[in-house]
Amino acid sequence: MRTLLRLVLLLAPREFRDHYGAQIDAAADEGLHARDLVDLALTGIRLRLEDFLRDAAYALRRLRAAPLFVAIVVITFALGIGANVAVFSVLNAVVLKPLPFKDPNGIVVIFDGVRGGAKVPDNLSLADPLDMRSVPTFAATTALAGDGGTMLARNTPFAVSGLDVIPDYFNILGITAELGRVLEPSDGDPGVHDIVISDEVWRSHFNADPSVIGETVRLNGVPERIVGVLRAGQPALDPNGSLRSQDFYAALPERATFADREERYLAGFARLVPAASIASTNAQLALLSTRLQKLYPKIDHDRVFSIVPVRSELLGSAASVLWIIFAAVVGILLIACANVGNLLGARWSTRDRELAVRSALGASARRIGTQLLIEAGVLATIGAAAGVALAYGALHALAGLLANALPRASTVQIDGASLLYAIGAVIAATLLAGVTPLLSLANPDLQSVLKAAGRGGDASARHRLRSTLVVLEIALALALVVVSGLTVRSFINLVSTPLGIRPNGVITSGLTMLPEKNLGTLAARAAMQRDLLARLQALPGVRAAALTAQYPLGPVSNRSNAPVFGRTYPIGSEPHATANNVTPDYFRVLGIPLLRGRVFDSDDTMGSAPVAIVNEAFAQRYLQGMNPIGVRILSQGWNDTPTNWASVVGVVGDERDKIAQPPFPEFFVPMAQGPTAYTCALVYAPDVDAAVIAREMKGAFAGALPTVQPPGMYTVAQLVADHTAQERFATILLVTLAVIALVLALSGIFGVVSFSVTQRSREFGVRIAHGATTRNIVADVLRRTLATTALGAAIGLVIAAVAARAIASQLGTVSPFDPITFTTVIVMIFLSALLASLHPALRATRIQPVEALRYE
Amino acid sequence: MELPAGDPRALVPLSSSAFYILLALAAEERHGYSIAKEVEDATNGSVHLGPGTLYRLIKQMVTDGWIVEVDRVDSEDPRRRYYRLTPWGRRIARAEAARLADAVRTAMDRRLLSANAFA
Repeated sequence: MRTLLRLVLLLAPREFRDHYGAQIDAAADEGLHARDLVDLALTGIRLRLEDFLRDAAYALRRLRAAPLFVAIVVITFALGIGANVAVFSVLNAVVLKPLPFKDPNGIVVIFDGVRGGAKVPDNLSLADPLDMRSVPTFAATTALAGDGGTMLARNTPFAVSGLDVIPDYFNILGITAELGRVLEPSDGDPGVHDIVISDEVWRSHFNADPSVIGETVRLNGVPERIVGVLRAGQPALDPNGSLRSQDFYAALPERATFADREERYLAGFARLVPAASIASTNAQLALLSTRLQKLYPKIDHDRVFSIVPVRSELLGSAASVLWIIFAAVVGILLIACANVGNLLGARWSTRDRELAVRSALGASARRIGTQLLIEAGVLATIGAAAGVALAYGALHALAGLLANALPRASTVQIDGASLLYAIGAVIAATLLAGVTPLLSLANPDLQSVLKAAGRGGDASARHRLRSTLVVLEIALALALVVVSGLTVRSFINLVSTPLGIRPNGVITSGLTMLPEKNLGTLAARAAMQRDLLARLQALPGVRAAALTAQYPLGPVSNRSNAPVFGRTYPIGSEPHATANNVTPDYFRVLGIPLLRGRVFDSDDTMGSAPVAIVNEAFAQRYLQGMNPIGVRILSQGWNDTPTNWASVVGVVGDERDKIAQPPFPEFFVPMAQGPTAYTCALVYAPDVDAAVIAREMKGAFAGALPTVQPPGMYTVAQLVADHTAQERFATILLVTLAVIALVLALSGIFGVVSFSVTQRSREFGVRIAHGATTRNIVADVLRRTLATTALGAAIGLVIAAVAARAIASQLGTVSPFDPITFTTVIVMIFLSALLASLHPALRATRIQPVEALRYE
Repeated sequence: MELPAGDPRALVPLSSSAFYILLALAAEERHGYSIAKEVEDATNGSVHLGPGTLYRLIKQMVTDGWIVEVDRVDSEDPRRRYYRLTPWGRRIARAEAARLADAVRTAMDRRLLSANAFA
């Protein structure tokens, strides 16, 4: 009880304890009740709070007298804490929060890790996930492919996006239905056309009508029965990792034929049994791969399955970018604190005398220290409030940029965790900014300060402390500017990569599925395509138009083996290439040069000899040392198009289908000889406004395919922007942060030099009286700046080198120690440091000797 | 109505705890624990002053000059401190008592309290 009493007493301020502790102790001799302890505890807290409020009010009163100082500090803190809160909110929503699935740590992505050492996603056949059910550490496997098109429900057509999934998908992710049921294995049986729809579609297109279960709709012309409505707010796992929820889900069959083995287009996911490790599962998958290689040498000779956690696959690159940016904002906060620390130090040192007087009047050093810290805390709190508002605004302004750059960006918000982080930042900022100047106040005994202050005797220890803070600021700012400089260079490299296609004036449509997918004949498809193309060509301002099975930089990349006729290949080294079906003007629209032979023309039809065009990468890699023209390659049919030995009639320039990767071998066949069910339109219309031509293209689609919802239209510039969104986001943010860091560091230098000039005004006055020239004085001030900057730069270079190494993987071809960036930044830092101290240096030369001596 | 500075009526009403402390010290000087004990006795145990509340109020009253700490050589326990009402503290206690008496009179007029309650 006694010990408890002493502990409870600790809650009260020391003053109270010192004065009344013994009495309370004595009173406890007469008996002590629990309610007395409670009373004592509450009193302790109350007294502390009263002290705090008094000190805060006192601090506010004092600060009101220095509005300029307050404004500078609050802006500094607002920038530092605001940037932190904004970036933390993004980091938290995107990276730190668990994925929105049931037990997300047990979910893995299945790769077919082959070709060029790169893991290849979306490359499973339907047979693969079914075969993998034999792996004992898999609790369940699923595979999925994007689907979509036009849904016709209650006489209204609308565009939908969806997924075809092996129904274990729902168990693996823990997705449930709010109405009806989720898909079951039998839904994939032949002749069964069951789908489930999202809550969103249910509400927007079915009026949230519960009788929707059992209703038949048409999906791209095919009747499908709705068997369930999924619960709202359940995200989808899709091949692109966007986590965007889908409008509908259809079931893939649970039985694979031999032919299914050949078509690899599915993204695989699985749930591990509890406590199963990635490594042991990979070992099992290696065994399975070997078995498949032996069983199906023709098809599966190149199988090497492996898994990675879904988290690192979906969030991996975003996580590394966000952690870099987070490190940058923490650096900014440190710089901001150092800056404020110096400002507070300058302010408090001019109050030395007041503090000494108060100390002489009996205020304990501790009490004075607390009051000063509370002053720092009040400033940090006001700054943080402004910072949170700033962060809120910034996140709103950046929402568009974020949405394309990061997965689950739509969940980013300033929430409880953000505010908690802001409070943590306030505490850290208060201590970091307040403690250093306090240290410099604490040591000299205040008596001597009382005597010395006002005689301009700059305590050199204090000056050193202040310079140390500036050295740190310069170091951090330099590191940040280097990192952002490297990022900028790598981003410039990325966006200036020649794509092999026209960057301007080209508009492409998204994928459209021709109606009657399962009913239409190839001839019917070809007729629809001819009609659509004619309408596109007739649009005003269109110089060339084409249809293609996949648009440049689009989501689909159909790849297949394309062996050359008459050649035999060792297992696993058959030519592998992107296959595309295009109309003749495809190359003209995209400005892809013809290097040899001819492009397709209107004589290449279903009835004429099968032809193909290969790109330069294909010719160089697979047709080396031979005349490509006339060579026959195997063009494998897809989407029910025929498989042919096609003669190469031309060679064209390369185009990239991923910006950061070198062009892949590619071959083209005429759309007329292989009319695919999926079609995109491309037009070259450089003189017409993109929005106008997009609208007219939609009109052409509506005219040619009246039952199909026209697809979205994109400019190539937009596609490039989408592909580089994450890099653009990182670059914009890091550059902004580097500018903030630099401005803060420079204002720090300015502040410290100014203060030191003021402190040394007597000295300068005397030296000017003794004949020192302007040059001497300026050189003296600048020399000090240079020394400080050099030290800061040296430390900064070390930090920059470590940071650059850490982000090397994000830099593409730019070396993390890129000499141009490093040199530029160093020169920039020195020049701006000199610039920041020039004004105070010149002020020093204008000191009048007489006034300097009279000063104070 | 603005009261002139130095008028104790500006400080009333007091909290009941504060008033009981002043009452306890009105007759004689006491140490902290004995104040609490006296208050408890005088109110038949209905008012209990915990040590926190007690010493917080004592501290405040000392600061405001209502009571003073007095040195007592005869104290049996050196840890104890004794307190005495200052003339200013006494005026405040009187003002509060007068205020309460007014309230009691009003209560009697309104027949909330029998007129011979103090008989």
